[in-house]
Amino acid sequence: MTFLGLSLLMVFLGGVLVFLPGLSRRAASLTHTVLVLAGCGVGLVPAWQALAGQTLSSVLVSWSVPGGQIELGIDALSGLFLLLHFVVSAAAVLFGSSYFEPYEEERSLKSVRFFLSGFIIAIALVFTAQNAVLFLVAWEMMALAGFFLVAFEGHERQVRRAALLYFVATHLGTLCLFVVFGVLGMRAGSFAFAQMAGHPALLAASTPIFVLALLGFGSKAGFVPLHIWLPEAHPAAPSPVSALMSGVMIKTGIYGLLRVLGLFAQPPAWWGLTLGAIGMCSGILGIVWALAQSDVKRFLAYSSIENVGIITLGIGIGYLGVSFHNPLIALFGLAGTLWHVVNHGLFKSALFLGAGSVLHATGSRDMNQQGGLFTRMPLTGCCVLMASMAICGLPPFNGFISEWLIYSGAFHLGQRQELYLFVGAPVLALIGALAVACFSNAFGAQFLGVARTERASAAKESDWRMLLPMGALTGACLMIGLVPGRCFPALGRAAAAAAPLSQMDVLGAIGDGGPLLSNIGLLSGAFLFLATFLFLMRQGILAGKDVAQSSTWGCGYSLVSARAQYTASSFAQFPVSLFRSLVDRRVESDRPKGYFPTGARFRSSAPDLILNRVVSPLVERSLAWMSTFRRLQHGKVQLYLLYMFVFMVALLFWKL
Amino acid sequence: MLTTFIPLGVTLVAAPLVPGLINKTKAAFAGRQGPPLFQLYFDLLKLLNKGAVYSRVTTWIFRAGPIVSLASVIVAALFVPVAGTASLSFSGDIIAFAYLLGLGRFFTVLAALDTGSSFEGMGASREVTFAMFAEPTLFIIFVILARVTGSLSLSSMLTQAPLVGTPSMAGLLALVVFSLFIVCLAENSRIPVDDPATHLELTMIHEVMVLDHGGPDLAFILYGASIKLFVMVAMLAHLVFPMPDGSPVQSGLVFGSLMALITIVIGIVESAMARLRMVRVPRLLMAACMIACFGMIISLR
Amino acid sequence: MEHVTQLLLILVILANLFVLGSHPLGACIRAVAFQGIALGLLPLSLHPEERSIHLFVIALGMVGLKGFVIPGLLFRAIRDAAIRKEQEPLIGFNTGLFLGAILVGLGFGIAGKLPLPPHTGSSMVVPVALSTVMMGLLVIVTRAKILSQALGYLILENGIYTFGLILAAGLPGLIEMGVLLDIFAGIFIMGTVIEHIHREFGSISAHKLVNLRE
Repeated sequence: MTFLGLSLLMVFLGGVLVFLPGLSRRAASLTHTVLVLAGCGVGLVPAWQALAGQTLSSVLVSWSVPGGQIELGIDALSGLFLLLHFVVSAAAVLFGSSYFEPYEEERSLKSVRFFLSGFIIAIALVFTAQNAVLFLVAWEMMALAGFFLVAFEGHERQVRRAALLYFVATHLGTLCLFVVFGVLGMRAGSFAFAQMAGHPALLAASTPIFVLALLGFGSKAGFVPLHIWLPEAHPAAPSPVSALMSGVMIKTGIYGLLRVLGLFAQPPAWWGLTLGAIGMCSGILGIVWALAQSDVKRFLAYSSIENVGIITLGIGIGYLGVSFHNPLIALFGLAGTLWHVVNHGLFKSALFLGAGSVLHATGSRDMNQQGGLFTRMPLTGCCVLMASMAICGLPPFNGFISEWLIYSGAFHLGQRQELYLFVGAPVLALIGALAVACFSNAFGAQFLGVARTERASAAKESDWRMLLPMGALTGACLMIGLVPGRCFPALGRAAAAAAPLSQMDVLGAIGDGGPLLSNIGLLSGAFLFLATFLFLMRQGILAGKDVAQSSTWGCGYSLVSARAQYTASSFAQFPVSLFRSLVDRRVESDRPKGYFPTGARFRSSAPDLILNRVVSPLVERSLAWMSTFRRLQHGKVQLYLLYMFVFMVALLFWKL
Repeated sequence: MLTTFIPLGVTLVAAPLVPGLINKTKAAFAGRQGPPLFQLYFDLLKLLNKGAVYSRVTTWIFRAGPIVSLASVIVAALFVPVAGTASLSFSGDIIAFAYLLGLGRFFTVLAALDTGSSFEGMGASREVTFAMFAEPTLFIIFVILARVTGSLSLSSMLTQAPLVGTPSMAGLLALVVFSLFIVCLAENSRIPVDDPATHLELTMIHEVMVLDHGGPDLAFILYGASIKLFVMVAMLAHLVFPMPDGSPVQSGLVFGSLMALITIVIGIVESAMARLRMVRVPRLLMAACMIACFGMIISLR
Repeated sequence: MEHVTQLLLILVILANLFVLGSHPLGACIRAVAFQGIALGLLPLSLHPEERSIHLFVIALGMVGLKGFVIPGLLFRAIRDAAIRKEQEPLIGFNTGLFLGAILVGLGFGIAGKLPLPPHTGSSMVVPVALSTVMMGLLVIVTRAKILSQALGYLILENGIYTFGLILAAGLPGLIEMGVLLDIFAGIFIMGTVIEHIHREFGSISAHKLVNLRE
């Protein structure tokens, strides 16, 4: 635990020391980066120890807040999330040290660095708090720091709107959490998680707690339809912050859900079914909406909703396994979930950093404006390609491993008697196929073909501080994909900490699952070997032959203009048209008219269905209704006093 | 040790025969003599001896496309039984099988987009769209087979419940075979989903994606496509008829004749049907998916 | 005979799915005719122990009526009214197929919960009957043209007929005759009406009927 304290202290110092007077910009940036990186490095130690099976004693410090105690502890579950958090934070901060440089000309970055440090510390506290009051305080700190980070470019109207939406959404969620922890604390008689776990008095309130926890944590994690803030806030925030938010912050929702639901020894089967249904809805809708986007960060935000859907489906499968007393299903579901949390954290933050790198180089987030970046930014391109493959769940990357586990759980569930249990695997397959469509489109539109604009053709590769974090994250993705058998026991321990599974069962199931995963690692190795072999064979064949360069054939039409290429929107048009009832796709166009058309225009966009068709009208209508009460608000002090008087009299009458 | 790889070896050697036999069938129906049965072997040899021409627009992704798709389909072929036995099988290999095919598709699509040609972009868009229907259908079929056989490995799933020989589930298995047949046609770009014989129309899918490949790259692609077709036909063959337990010669004969039979059926379908309009293809695949769902529902009885 | 029964019932459902998911009207009519033939043969496989002349006559009558006479009438209506042979469903075909599959699931789910006599021939008769009824309703609700709606009525009737088959072999004859007579008359009347409407409005879309109010 001293390591954790040390780590948080270093991150804190990194955030505070930048305010020292007389520190040059360069020195401030260096101080912040070095201290935070060191802090994250130190923080990895306790996380790793907890995952390796060591129990770490918790720290207890008394606190003047009623019911609150500063109690920090790391079990395997916390360790897993903490590991991810420190890795992604280090990558994001290193990336940010280069990314923020252009902004430094026009404004001070002290506050950003401070809030970035605060954000990292708050998330680490959320993952380690063993007391509900402390948890809520850390949760609020995280929300506030996140708000200031999203509002980084607050001079733009769009960004202010997004930040405000985030602020409102996160606080509505927190409201639910206050009730959840209030009820839990009242019933168990203590706010310490250890005292709450398995407390018999909790059982009577299990349903409201489940529902409220779902709302509270779900709005943070981005369950459809509580996701509305996500596609607005992610594009608005600076790229390293988006990486941190999407890679780690939304996972705090998953962590909290697992913590709270894990307090109950016997989850009823309908919990698992509800979670599974939510997961499937979020997964399908998220990825379909993603397909219709052309802003790359909006697209990635929707893809995060999809992945949270997969994660939630995994939780659902795991909890059904627990309810059915089937340790194998429970372990496959929960270990797959937790692994997907880690994997998604790695590849999604790599993708956001990649998007940041492209934004840095071309100044645009619109995929339809890019093209041909692979020749100019080969390393960024490679990282984005690898992360895209990982997020599609393709071997030999890590995404395949976690999806394999969740699939296996779904298949085992599908062998049971109940009909509705079969849908898991086909729905995952649908999501997977859509993800392939999405990411081949996004990568192709940005990096392949010919540059569509001047700026895209003048793009330059980013510097090492941007490339190294992306490379490290994608390298981790590949490593996990190649040796999954090694990582499995740690995941099993984390899964056991997340759900009421007996240790014996877990050990047995890990014994069954480990060798299977090693098979998959072997398979990935075999694939890489074969691909290398075929590559060498092709080189050998072409060695003495004529290899010529020419223009693209394209059925005899040589490429007239780069703008004639298939864009991201045109690629997505056909698949999206099949889901037209689910997507709010808007098209503005001036068709070419007459024999000699002069100008034509086409623009398509897909604003959020829930936000624009449900939430906004609802808010408007309730505002219109509320405005009738505005007549009470007229500024005359005497009348206000009258209100108070009337209210007091009414109160007296009611009580007496 | 070496004997375990015999099924894979058979697949690799015999795969180019399948398209040859389909073309022979189609030619017979059209009253032509058609190309020889071994035409694809000759084509492959010729292509491997050629040089290559690359578009200036392309990057290494374009060159990696054929390699990755061939490697992934060969690794996927490890799990598919030939005459009753597969080279490799473990619980859960069905997922690996489907995702390896997905990996091949991903790289074929990227290689197509790498050329910057809007024709290839169009083909790529269609390819990923039809996969949205084919993959869930494949997984519903897998879930049904997992329920029926209690196994999660492809080879034991396919060999334990043949349509002929399990009368108690004949109706269910007929549905499974039917929808797998449609998935097979869609995944391998056959009529009525796609027309493998032409690539110059705007309506094509797979052929238009590989327009710019030539020489050894095209050889890899054609070979990979034939392996994929062989693998899917082999899956159908095992689902239809049980492989005899006896000598390898006997089961080999049964397997070979079944493969020929199903291949000829594909040829007949191609001769008798026209390619569907592009907007109607999703409906065909959706129907296959719903038939598989119906199979799932009656598998509970 | 259990397998034959199952196969026939599966064909019934497939015909329903076909009607929900396909475009040309003629093909849909043929699918329903095909369904009628399968249902006509069903009593023979469902009650193999009492193969009386009576049963054979009923089966033959059903096959003739459902498989040939009624479809023939519908085809005649198409020819007389010179209808375009395309359907215009109110929901997409994909959605229709999807809803159809859900209805099949629902039918099987409900059938599992119904308090039925233990011996009802095959375990699939009741669920297939239920889902056929529901899919018939779906066709009626989602199709704009009167002729397509008539197809829906036919499917609905086929479902009710399947229900009747659970009971003893002889009994459904009476009920069936009554129901069938209704449908027969209905189709007959509809045919005439279609012709008149077509002559009057130049179209047979049910939307136009809205013009008739007040």
